[in-house]
Amino acid sequence: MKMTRYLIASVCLISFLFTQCKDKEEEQKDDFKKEAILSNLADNYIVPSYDDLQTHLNSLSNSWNDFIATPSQTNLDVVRMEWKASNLSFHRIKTIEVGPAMTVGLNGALGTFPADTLQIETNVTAGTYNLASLDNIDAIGFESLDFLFFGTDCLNKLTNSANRKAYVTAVITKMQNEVNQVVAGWVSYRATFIAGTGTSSTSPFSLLVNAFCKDFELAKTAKIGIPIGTQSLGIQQPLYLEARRSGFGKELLIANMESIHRLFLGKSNSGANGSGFDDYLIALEKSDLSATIDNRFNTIETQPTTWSGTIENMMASSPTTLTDYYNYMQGTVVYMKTDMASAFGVLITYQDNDGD
Amino acid sequence: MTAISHRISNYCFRGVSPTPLVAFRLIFGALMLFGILRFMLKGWVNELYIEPDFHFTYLGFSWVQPLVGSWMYLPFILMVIASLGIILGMRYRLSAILFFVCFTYVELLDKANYLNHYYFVSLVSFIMCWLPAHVDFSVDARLHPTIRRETIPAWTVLIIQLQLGIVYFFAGIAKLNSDWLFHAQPLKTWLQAYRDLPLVGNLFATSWLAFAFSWFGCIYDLTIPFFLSFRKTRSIAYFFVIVFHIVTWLLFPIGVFPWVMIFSTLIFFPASFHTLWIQWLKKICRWKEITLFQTRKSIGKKIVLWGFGIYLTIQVVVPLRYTLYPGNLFWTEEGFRFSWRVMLMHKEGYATFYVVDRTTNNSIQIENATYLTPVQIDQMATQPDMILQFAHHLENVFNDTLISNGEQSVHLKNPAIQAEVFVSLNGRPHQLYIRRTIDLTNETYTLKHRTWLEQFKESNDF
Repeated sequence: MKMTRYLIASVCLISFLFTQCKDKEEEQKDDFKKEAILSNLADNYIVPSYDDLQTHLNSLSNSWNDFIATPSQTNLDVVRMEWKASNLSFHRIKTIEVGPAMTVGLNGALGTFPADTLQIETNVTAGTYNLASLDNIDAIGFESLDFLFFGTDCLNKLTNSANRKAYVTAVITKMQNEVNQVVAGWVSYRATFIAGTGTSSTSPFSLLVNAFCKDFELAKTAKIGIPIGTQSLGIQQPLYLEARRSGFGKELLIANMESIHRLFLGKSNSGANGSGFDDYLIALEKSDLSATIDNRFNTIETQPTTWSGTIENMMASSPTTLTDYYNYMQGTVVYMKTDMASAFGVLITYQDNDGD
Repeated sequence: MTAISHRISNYCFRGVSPTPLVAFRLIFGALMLFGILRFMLKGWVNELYIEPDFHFTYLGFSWVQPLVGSWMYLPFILMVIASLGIILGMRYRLSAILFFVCFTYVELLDKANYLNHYYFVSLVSFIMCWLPAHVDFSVDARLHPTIRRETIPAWTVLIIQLQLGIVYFFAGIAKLNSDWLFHAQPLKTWLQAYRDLPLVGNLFATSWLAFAFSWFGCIYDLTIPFFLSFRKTRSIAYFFVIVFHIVTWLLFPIGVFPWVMIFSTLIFFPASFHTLWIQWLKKICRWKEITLFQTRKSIGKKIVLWGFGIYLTIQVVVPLRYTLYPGNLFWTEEGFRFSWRVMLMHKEGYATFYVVDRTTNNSIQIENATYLTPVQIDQMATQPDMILQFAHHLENVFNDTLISNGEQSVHLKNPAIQAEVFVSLNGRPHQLYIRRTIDLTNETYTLKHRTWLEQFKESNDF
């Protein structure tokens, strides 16, 4: 009994001493809330970005209807422009595969590449298809449109085939439906998201951190790694390039990296810098780590702008530049997944765990 | 010397009431029944044992393999039956042995699922096989009244108390390190994640709370077996047991473990305490007491004492085996498991594997997710033995394969397997764990110290 009392007393005393040592700055750090990140991202980044994607897809749909009415190179050029704009818009939000986007499976539906052109042609010839079926996952989304809008002799094929036109319409309508669902879903999900500061692996904050790392790794592997041959003994795989026919893959990569960077900083699309992972790291007294990741993202998003031509051009002209770039991305994952995620205390396992 | 051994012998074999042991049988059986059903209902049988293509077996136990497909549910169903048998005391010995065998079999399948509390359950169910926990208030005793006893030798209760004491005490010793005591890590990292809680959130963000928890946890673990053993301190100690485990249950995803400990530690209470609720249960079940006139003499005192001694020695030596290895234990994890290092460190790793064609030095970078589940990837990335096992698995997968890419094709023979691994320990900046220049196919999985692991560089930047 005596011992216990003594124990309690000393714990209280130690606690008291620690509270006394705390200064103002430290108190501010302790006051940092994850909710600040979530509400900032929801209101200034996620919801506006989905709205933007919705608008762009509507424009794409309108331009496509114009093309159907009057097929011409000029109208196809407008369609292509709208496709680029919507694909960029998609790349500004695809990292957040959390909540409604996860339920809908938005990234798989819109962003799977490379396209299975044989499957697309089969569908077009048949005239009937279920685009929601798993067999067609490589025959839908932006990548299928890259083939249909930019493929060889596409103007001619699109003008003369009613089936082809119907297929494009079906693909675009499916994308619109899915984005509409996500936009609608966020109206109610917003509250769940903002309150999701818990520590379980399924809490929105954990999902967000995991989605952030996952999307970066996916870009590293799929947009650069596989095409340059990291998984095939160095033998290049240009067939696996994203948006190969339009040659737009580099721009998509840049948009993807910029958006991941903005997400890290908590920046809105208009550029206002709110609460982000960087602020949380600073509150955890890890400003060095925050600066390192920030700098690395800067390099990663600006380097491709110096590349001449498309990624495919670079694979021929300067493969080592791409290998170095890939390795730099690989080195960045360590800071994100190992240092940052562990500092946040985010869990990846949902099973019982005794911490070892 | 003989006097001491005589006293020990007398102490171990003096007759005590079987009620605490019978109570423990009921408690343990019920907890296991709950735990196994929970495990099945969460879908973990499928996720952890049926779905994975590859399992990380223990050294010397690679012959322990999962059953095919849905047959994997069989040991779990047997465990349900066995725990019912334990609770009811029906075919008690058989039930206890069946439970121990099935449980241990499942645990040996994959070390990615290793948990200290699973090891604890394996040990306790092993002990239970030897104990006369069915000599009262059991179906066996009802059907065969001759097995009834009014007293049982004291060692049968003592062994469970000692086992629990060892768990706590070694968990406490493990906490005596500078990360835990002077940096409040990993608790600082884990507790600050609760910073958004209403009212108390700010408290969790402070480091002093982490320090208070760390020190309290350490002192608790080191002293609780003793406080539970003394009559005067027992009640207040048990109050702390409840508070401690409920707090950990609220804060961390540790499943049924807190409840296992809260209820198991009741074994420290005397027969008079357990009689209260066992009598009540007996009344409900209309249990008929029979007056027994004699207690059969226990045989094989020497064998029991030797068994007792050997078991306890193993229990003390195994957690200390890490002292035979050089280097930082948390970093190398040589001698880490089976040592009651519970909630002790926060390790995060990133492991990238390469299958290398020796003739051209070209490589295939591996997507770990193609071969492993998220849990396996997470566990493997920070544990050298698992990294090595996965490397050897990749060697098997890729040896003598034809890698075709369009017109080009390469016949891979005896590829080298390299890994580049980075690990962050207790919130420190990541460090290189394994260098890519090492060919892991040259390394064998043994108990020897692993020289291919990078040395840990102490850093106070955390």
